[in-house]
Amino acid sequence: MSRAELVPGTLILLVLRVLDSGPLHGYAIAQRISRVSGDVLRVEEGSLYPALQKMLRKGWVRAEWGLSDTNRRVRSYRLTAAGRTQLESERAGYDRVNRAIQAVLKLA
Amino acid sequence: MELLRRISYLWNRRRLEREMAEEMAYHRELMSPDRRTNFGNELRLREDAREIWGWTWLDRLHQDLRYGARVLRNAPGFTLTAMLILVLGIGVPLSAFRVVLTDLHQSAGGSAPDPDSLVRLTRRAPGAHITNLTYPELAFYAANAKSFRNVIGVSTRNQAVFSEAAAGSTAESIPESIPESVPESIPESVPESIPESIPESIPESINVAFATANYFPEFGIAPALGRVLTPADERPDAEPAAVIGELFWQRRLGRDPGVIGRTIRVNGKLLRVVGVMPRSATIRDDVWMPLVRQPYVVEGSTLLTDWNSALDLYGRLRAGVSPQASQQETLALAASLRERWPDRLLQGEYLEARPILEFDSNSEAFAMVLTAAALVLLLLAAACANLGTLVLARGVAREREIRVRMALGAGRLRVVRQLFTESLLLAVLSGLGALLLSTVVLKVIQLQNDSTASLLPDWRALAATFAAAILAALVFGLPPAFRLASLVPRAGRARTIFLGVQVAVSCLLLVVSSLLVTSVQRLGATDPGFDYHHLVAISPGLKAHGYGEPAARAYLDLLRARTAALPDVKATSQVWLAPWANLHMGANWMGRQYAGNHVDPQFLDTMGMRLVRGRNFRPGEDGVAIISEATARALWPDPDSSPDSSDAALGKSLPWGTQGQTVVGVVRNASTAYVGNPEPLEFYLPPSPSDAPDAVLLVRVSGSPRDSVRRLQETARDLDARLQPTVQVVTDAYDREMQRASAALAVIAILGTVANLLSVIGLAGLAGYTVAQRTREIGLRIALGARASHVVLAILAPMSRPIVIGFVCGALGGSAVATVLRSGIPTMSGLNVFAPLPYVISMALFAAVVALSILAPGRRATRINPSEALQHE
Repeated sequence: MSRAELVPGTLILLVLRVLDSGPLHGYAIAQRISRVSGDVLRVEEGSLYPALQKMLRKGWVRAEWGLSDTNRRVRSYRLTAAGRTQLESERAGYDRVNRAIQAVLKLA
Repeated sequence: MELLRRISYLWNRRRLEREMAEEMAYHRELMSPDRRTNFGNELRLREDAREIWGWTWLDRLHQDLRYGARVLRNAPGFTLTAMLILVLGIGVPLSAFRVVLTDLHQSAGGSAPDPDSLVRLTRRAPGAHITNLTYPELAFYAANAKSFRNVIGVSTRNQAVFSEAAAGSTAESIPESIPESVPESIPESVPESIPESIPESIPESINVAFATANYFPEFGIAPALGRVLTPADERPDAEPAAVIGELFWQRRLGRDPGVIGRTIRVNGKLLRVVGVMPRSATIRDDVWMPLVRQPYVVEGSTLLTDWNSALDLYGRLRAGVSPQASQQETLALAASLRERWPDRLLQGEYLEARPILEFDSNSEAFAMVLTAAALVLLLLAAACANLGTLVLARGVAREREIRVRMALGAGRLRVVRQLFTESLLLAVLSGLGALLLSTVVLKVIQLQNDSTASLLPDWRALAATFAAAILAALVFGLPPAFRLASLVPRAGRARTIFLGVQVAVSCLLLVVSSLLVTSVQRLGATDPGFDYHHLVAISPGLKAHGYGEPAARAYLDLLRARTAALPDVKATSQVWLAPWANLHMGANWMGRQYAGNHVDPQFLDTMGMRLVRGRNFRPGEDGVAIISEATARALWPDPDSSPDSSDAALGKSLPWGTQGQTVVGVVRNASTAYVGNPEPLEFYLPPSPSDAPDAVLLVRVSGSPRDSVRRLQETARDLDARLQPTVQVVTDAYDREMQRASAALAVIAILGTVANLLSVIGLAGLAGYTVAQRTREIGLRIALGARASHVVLAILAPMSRPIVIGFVCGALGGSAVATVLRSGIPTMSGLNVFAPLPYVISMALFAAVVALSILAPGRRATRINPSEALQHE
């Protein structure tokens, strides 16, 4: 099965969308993206954590510590109201670009 | 909001970074073993994540600072030398700055609330500038000028006689209203209960200041004890109140806190002490009283009604009124006042309003301040240049270290930043040292002046310190850093400039100080042209006591007769201005200042001056003048029949003024207006009748003038007991003047010494650098048979050009500075900036400095072992 790198600039959108369904920790975010995309999209750890830090800085997510099933301390990320707004706008932006690309692919 | 989050990250970074490590470790554990290697370098990952928060520069700075501190600690010799240079270079100018600041603060009322709207008021009209105003004018403007919320009048340094009232005389009553004359019934105090109290028979001469009550709040003066004067004290029915100066309180009343409520006597009049005025460096009057009470202590004074007094006026502008707007208003007001008093006011007169903290940029004093500031800043420049050469020299030793760092991947800018951080660290540490140094200097000055201004540096001093430190770091640290990071090819240019600058500054200060030394020496040796050793000047102060012309003349005639009858008095003369007093009258003609005086026919005899041409005044004569030889030469230079322009001058008219007095006599040069002017441009006019109330009686005595002071004072008082005459020995003025000249010299000499000390250090560093850089070459030369002198010359060679250029620039600059000093200090007016001797002395001194500085490196160079040197890599 071939795995694809993420389209640049979409990582944050994907993370926001994944977190919209509920708080997750870092590994779970990567897993979720990978699974939902049918193992096509792969999130590099090297870009996931800086992205999460950036989202923390922007105030789109909040980090909180909890316990895992194996009783380990884990940090999970929860979407904030600002994060939800950001998700909407990034999603709209992505849709617009996507439609434009599709239109070109179809007609050109 | 984002900024808050970033700051909170910075605050909690230790914990947050630990948490991130934990989080990543967990992530790794969850990954399948075959993929774990994909996780990458965790450290690198963490760093990438951290960088998102934008605090990396702080880490680098921290690194650089730690590294810099280590470097400085590992080279204690360099660090100490550099700090010594910088502490002196920043500290000396900073001390000067803080002294000026404190002075300005205290003299101009810098502690006054909102100083920008507090203005000094002076009379201005086309072609005229009069600094003092009279009481009727004060009252007029205070009542009519809408621009000012308050008009403040002050008169300081009025002579009066102080005596203590009865000890513990708090119960003594003071008449509720001011009596016309002191009732005889007030009992003379009898000190019986307190034995150490000074007997009343010893009156003491003090300075009294009179001020309107609004002076105190407007200038932000808070009492050291008790209260200040208030408008209630100005009411005619109020008990006469006084505030005493803190120094006077300490000196005369032993800091007794019970002084409040006691009564004292000024000119024999009883006053109730209500408070103690805090001391200040500039206003040092002993007793303060409401201005309207002046006639109470100065008997017969018509200050409140006449047009002769000289008050300092200040105004507090109303909110939103600019000084220019107030000038518009006073222009109109003065015009209306002139309709009533056409002869008292000038055509087009207005009150110039200048904020008290503002310098008069046209004044000579301003030029002096600028020159002084330039001189001390030059010292800072010299220090920077010096340290620059030193840092460059050290760079040789560090070249390898830098190369290693760059090989390990440090970018050039990163290296520059690290080196510059080092310089900055050094500069800031030295700045702190300089702050300490200036505080010590301030403390020493305070101890001498009995002042208690706060020694804590204010924000201006702090800002100046750190601005100077950062500027210094930029100048001495950046060029060597660029050089070491190989961003600029060669150090040669920077080194030459650094060296040239420091040589120029050292030489400039050397030249100025040796010029000043010669001028002060000459001042001591110059014959003032009159017999000043035996002169006493009596100022009866008739005008202050309301004497009119005829009364004053009668008093003066009587005083002269009485004085002449004293056994030790040789001659007396009535003049307008005492010799070497701080008052001057004069004319400015063709760019030169001529000093004048009104004197009677006995003047020449009393002063011991000699007439060389023409004749003396005749009694009652008018429209004539006597001039000094120098004046004759300046006004009528006669190229044909030199050397005598004195002959040519006789019969000519003085070119200035409207009267055009005819020159009837020429006297041998005598410097009576200023001390020690070898070319005194002076002229003397006969007394005018209106001078009498202002007149000074000049007395020549046979013995020591100090012995006669007492008797002369008594004689003057005997004629009118209300008077408080001052009797001054003319040599005191001479001593004062010499002191001032010596003080100026001392300051320049200190600057010069420091600059030359810096030069020795800097040149030694540079020579050491040259030796280190050229060890192999020198070894080769020695191996080929070069002698010690050749070796030393080889070291000197690269330094010689900047030294010569620097010296020439310094000498030129020095003569320019001396020219400014000459125009600002009358004592220096005879200074010859072209006299070769000071320059030769400076050159010799500087040669000694150079020799001293290359002594150690030179010795090291001549002892280089050729075989070792050739293996030196």
